[in-house]
Amino acid sequence: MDDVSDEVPWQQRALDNIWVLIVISLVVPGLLYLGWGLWELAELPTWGGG
Amino acid sequence: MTTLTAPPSRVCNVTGFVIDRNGQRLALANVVAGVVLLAFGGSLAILIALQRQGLPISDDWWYRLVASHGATMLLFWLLLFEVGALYWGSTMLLNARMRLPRLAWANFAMMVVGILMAQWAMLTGRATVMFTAYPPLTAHWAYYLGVLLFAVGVLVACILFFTNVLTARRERTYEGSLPLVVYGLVAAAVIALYSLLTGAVAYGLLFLQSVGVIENVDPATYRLFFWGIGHGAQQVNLAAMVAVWYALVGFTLGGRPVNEGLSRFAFLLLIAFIHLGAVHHLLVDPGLGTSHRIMNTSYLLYLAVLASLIHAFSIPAAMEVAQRERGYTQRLFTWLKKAPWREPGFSSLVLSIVYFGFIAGVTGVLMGTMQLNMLIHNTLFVVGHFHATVVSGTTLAFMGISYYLLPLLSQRRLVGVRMARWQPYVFAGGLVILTAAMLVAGQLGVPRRVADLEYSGSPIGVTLFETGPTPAIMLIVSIGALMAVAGGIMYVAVMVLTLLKGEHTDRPDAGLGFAFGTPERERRAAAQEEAAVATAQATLTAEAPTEDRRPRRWAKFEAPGTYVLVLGFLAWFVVMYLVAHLNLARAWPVG
Repeated sequence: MDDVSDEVPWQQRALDNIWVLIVISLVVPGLLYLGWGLWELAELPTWGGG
Repeated sequence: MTTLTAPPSRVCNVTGFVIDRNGQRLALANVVAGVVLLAFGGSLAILIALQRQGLPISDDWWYRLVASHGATMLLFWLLLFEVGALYWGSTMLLNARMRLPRLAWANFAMMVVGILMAQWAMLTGRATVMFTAYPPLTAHWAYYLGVLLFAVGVLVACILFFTNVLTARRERTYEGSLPLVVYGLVAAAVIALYSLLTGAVAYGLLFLQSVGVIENVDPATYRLFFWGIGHGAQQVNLAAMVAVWYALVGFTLGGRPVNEGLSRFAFLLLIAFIHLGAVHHLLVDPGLGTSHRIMNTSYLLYLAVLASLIHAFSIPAAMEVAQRERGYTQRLFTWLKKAPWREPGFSSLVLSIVYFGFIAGVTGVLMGTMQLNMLIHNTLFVVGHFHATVVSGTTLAFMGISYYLLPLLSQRRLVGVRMARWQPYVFAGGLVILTAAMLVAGQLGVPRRVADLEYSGSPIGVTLFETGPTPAIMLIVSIGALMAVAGGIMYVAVMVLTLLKGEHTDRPDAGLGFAFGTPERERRAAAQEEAAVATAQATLTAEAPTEDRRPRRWAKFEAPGTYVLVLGFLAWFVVMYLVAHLNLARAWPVG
């Protein structure tokens, strides 16, 4: 969404940007749910059946 | 020699939108396939409910039925319908064209093949691993591959949806910002990406194990990835359902959100934080630290709950404002009393919002609290919660919009209008009985996903059903299930009859007795006229005060009735929380 109409405020333009939304949707749960969770599991002595 | 073919697009005589025929056919195919699967999953529900009342179904078959019912209802029906909604929203609501239609059809075929593979494995007893499929339970490779094919199909559909939206923006087929309904669908598709990626990892690992490529899959790691899709898919449903709610306000009342920017911000909160709620499935997993579990479910998730609360205010407020603009301004709730309760879209909308908020949302937040979760984990309470979300909320909303979508997409007049008017009440009535009884049964300790609730032949005795109210409550569960199925049959009947017997017409809205919103061209003309009048008035009466015709005590509120309703919801929330903590105190007395 590069060429957005001028009358749309920049805040709304940012919220309208699909790429921004995709990055947010991947980064936030990717870090807080998945990354943090994997970090904790990796600290277990039996992780991965080891 | 020239060949006569249908032009690639047409103008809809009902809405005024330019309709791309490829988008129209693809949306219709996905919606119809979804309805077929809903009918199939519903028929399994009858058997599951009757088994609880003595219908002779072996334990082996019961697990097959529950596995298939869960996958069909939680994944296949809803996601197929949502793919249809994505194609509808990205083409018809934007006056835009469907990109890569051949790829979209091939993708649809792949999804159907995936569903058939998974169903074959489940119904032949090769994949009775249930929806969660936790290792070390192992299923036939066809089950994992089938689900993977379906998930990849949904992922491709999301990418096609994004491509359509970006093309529409580049070709300027719409003005300004994305319409809010399409924005809600964007949120659903964006949420789906993370969900499908985590699901691909989880099911991909199990598929590799099932064909012998890897030796074992770490159960804790699997569960972490699985709940990215297990719960994440329900968040896709949530965002799509909210988008459908906004669409239904437009269809039934011609209403628009009172603050569109706030509604968009609420979608952003969902996109960022809703996935974190998946941790509540892992609250009893010992591998994850307490900080991880509590921070995600009891703090960060509340930002997504805030989003739901914003929508829960915004949508009824849009209804009230629309009704007050029509002149229903007399009392606090005259607008609600005079609402089109006979329109299936409106009744579905209101019932879906009420049940989703009062039962599904509240029980979800309760289950997200670690201490309360310990009381009801793996009981029928959880099943009651997700039937309230996915069935009372999402399915009912999707049924409601079908009464508009199917005639518009098939260009056929709705058949069975009287049945359609009653259907939401029968379906929702059954569900409120079903879910309430399930929630109570769960609190009494009735387990979920167990074929033999009495553990016959087990060396550990279970006295749950010998005395007390449990058998009666389980009977109420079955009655509620059968009533909900009856409502589902009414819905499927209207859909099938419309497709097979409905009059083919370019005005499918005519003669139905309910509105299809404000046609796009009329809305644009009205907006232009309104702008011209406002400019003229501003010139003539620049300093003149405007008269406020609302009753004096409500003069500060645009939607006073909604404000009162929201306060009532808040009070209900507090009461439910106190009751839950009272139960907790009884379970674990202090001192």
